[in-house]
Amino acid sequence: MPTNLVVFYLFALAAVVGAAGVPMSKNIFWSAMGLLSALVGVAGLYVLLSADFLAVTQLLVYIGGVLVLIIFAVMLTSQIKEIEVSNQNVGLVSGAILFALTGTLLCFVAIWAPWKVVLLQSHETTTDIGNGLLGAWLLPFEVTSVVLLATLIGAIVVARKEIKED
Amino acid sequence: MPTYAYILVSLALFFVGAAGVLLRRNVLIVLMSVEMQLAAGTLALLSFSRALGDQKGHVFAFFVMALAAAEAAVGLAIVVSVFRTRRTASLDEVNGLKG
Amino acid sequence: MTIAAAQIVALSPLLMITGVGCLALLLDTMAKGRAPALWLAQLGCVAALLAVANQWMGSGSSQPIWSGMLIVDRMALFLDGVLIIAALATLLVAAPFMREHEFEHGEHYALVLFATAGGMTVVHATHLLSLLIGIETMSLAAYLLVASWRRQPAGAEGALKYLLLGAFAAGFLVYGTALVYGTTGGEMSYAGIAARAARAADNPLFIMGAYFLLTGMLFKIAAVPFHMWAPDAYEGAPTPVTGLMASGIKVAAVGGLVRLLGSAFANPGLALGHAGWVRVLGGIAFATMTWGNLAALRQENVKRMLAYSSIAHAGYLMIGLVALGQKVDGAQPALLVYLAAYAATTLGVFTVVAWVGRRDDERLLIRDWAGMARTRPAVALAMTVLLLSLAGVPPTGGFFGKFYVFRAAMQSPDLAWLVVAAVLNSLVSVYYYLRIVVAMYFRDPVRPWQPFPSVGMAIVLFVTVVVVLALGVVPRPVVELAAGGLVTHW
Repeated sequence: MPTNLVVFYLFALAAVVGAAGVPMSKNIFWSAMGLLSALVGVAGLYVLLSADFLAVTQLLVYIGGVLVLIIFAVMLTSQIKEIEVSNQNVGLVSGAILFALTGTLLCFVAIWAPWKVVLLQSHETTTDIGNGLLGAWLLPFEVTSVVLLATLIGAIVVARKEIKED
Repeated sequence: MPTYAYILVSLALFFVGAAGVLLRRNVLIVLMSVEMQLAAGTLALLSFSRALGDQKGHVFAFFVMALAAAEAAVGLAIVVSVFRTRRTASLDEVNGLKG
Repeated sequence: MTIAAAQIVALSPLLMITGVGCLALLLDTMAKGRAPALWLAQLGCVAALLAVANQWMGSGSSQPIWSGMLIVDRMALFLDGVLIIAALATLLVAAPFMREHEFEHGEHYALVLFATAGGMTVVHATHLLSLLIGIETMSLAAYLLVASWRRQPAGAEGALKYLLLGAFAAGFLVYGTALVYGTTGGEMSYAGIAARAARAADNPLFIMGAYFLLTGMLFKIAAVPFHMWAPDAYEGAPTPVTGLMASGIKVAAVGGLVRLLGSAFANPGLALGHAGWVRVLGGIAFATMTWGNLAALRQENVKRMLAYSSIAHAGYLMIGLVALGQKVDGAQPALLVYLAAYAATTLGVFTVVAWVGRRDDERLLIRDWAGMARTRPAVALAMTVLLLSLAGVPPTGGFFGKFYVFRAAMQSPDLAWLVVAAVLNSLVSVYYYLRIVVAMYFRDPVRPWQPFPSVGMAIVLFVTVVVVLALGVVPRPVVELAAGGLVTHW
C-alpha cells in the first residue's frame, strides 16, 4: 500500500472514531478528547489536500484555542452532571432517523457522482489566501472583524461578574 | 485518494455532529457537535477546492474557522453565565421555559 | 486591489452603523454615565438613514460593489431603512428598560448596532460568503443581547438554546455552501450559481446543498419545524431585544431569502416540480402559520404569545416567497410592504410590553393586563390598534400587508389553497389578540397600574401607531417605495 493511502486511512479513522466518541461517550471529558482526535484527524486530511495554511490554523485555533476553552468549561461546570435544556418541542428520534436516511443517501450519491480531479502541483496556499483576503474578499474580511469585536465585547459583558455602580 | 473518500469522511462528521445536536441534551456536547459540523463543512470545501483546482474554497474555509471560534467563545461565555445563575438559583426555576 | 470612492459611498450606511457602534463603545468607557453613548448611537442611526435616503435619490440603478460581494439596489435600500428604524426604536426603548431593570451596559447599544450592520449585510448580499458573514454578525450580536439580562435566569437559558440552534443552522449554511460550490464547479456568487444551476440541477448533491442553505435560513426566520428556539429566546430576552429579534432580524433574514431564492435558485428546474423548493416552502408556510397560531391560542404569557404570533407571521411571509418562486408579478413589493408594516407593528407591541412591567413585577400574564384602559386609556388604545394590525383587521398596515401578499399569491392558481388557509389562520389569530384587548377594557385591574414614565417609549409608541394607521389609510406612498425597490433599472 502506498504511504499516502495509509496516512489517509489513519487520519480518516482518527477523525471518524473521534467524532463518534463526542456524542456517544458518557463522560464529557472523553467527549472533549474525541473532539480533539476528530480535529487532529481533520487537520491531517487538510495536509493531504495540500491545504498547509489551513491545517496549521486548524491546530492553532481549534486545538490551541477552542478545545482548551471547552475543556476549561468542562472543568468549571463539572459539579453539574448535565446542564439540561428543556426542549420538548422536537421529535428527536424522528429527526435522527431522517438524518440517518439523508446521510446514507448522500454517501451513495457522493460515491456515484463523477468528480473530476484537477491535480495541482502542491504549492503554498498562503499566498493565495492572503491575496484573496486583501483583494476580492476584502469586504467579508473587514466584516469578520466586526463579528470578532462584537463577540469579544459581548462575551465579556455576559461572563463577567456583576459590577455594582454607585 | 479520490475526492469522494474525503467527502465521505466529511459527511460522516457532519451527520454524527447533527445526531449529537439532536440527541444529546448536554450543552457542552451539543456545542462540540456543532464545532464538528463546521469542521466537516471546511473539509468538504477543501476537498472540492482540490478537485476543482480552485482556491476560493480555501479562503471560505478560513472564514468558517474564524466564525467557529467566535461561536465557541460566545457559547462558553453563556454557559459560564448559566452556571453562575444556576449555582445561586434553584434547579427547578432554570428549567422554567416550557410549552 | 484599488478601492473606488464610489464603493465607499455605496457602503456608507453600513459603514456609519458599524463605525458608530465602535465609537459608542469607546465613548462609553470614557464618558460619565450611559447617556453620551446612547445619544451617539441614536445620532448614528439618523445619519445612516439620511445616507440611505441619499442613495435612494442618487442612482436608481442596481450596482454590484466590492467584487460582487454586495449589491446596492432599491430593495436593499428599502430594507436598510426598515432595519435602521428598527434599531433606532430598539435603542429608544432599551435605554429606559435597562435603567428600570438595572442591567444597563453601554455595550448593549453597540451590540444593537452590530446586529443591524449584520442584517444590512444580509439584505445586500449577493455572495454566499457575505450572506454567511452577515448572518453570523447579526446572530452572534443577538445571542449576546439575549444573554445580557443576567438577573433573569430565563435569559441565559433562552440565549443558550438560541445559540446552539443558531450554530446548528450555521453548520447547515456552511455545508450547503460547500456542496453548492463543489457541484457548480466553483461558484459562490448568486449570479454564478444561477448561471450553472440548470446543469447542476441533475446532481442530487447540488439539490441537497440548496436545501441545506434553505434550512439554515429557515432557522433564522423561525419556520416550523426549525422554530423550537424561538419561544424560549423571545421570552427570555429583554423585551426591547425581543422586539428587535421579531422585527429587524426577521426582516433581514426574509430579505436574504428573497435574494437567495430570487436569484441563485430561481431556476425553474429547481424551483418548480415535485421536489422544487416552491412546493416544499408552501408546505412549510402552511405548517408554520397553523402551528404558530394554534400554539399562541393556549399561551397565558403575553410575550410568549407574541413569540408564537411572530412564528405565524413568518408563515404568511413565506407565502410571499412561494409566490416569488412562481414568478408572480408584484410578489416582491408585496413582501416589502408586509415586512415594513409587520416591523412597525411588532416594534410598537413590544414597546408596550416593555412599558407595563416594573422591576419587581413584570406583568407578563394576560390577566395582569386587566383594566389598563381605565388608568392608561391612550396606551390601551394604541395597543388595540397594534394588535388589530397583527391580526390583519382594516384599516391598519397589517391588513394591507397581508392583502398585498395574498393578492399576489392569488395570481397563481396553485397557491389558492395556501391563501385560503392563511385567511382562516388570520381569523383564528383574531381570537388570541382580542383576549388581550378584552382584558385591557373589560376586566377589573388585579393590582394598581404604575408603569414607569419614559419619553423614548412614548415616542416609539406614537410613531409606530401613526405609521400603522397611515399604512392602513393611505398605503400608496409605501407601496410605491416598495415597488421602486423592484425596479432595478430606473
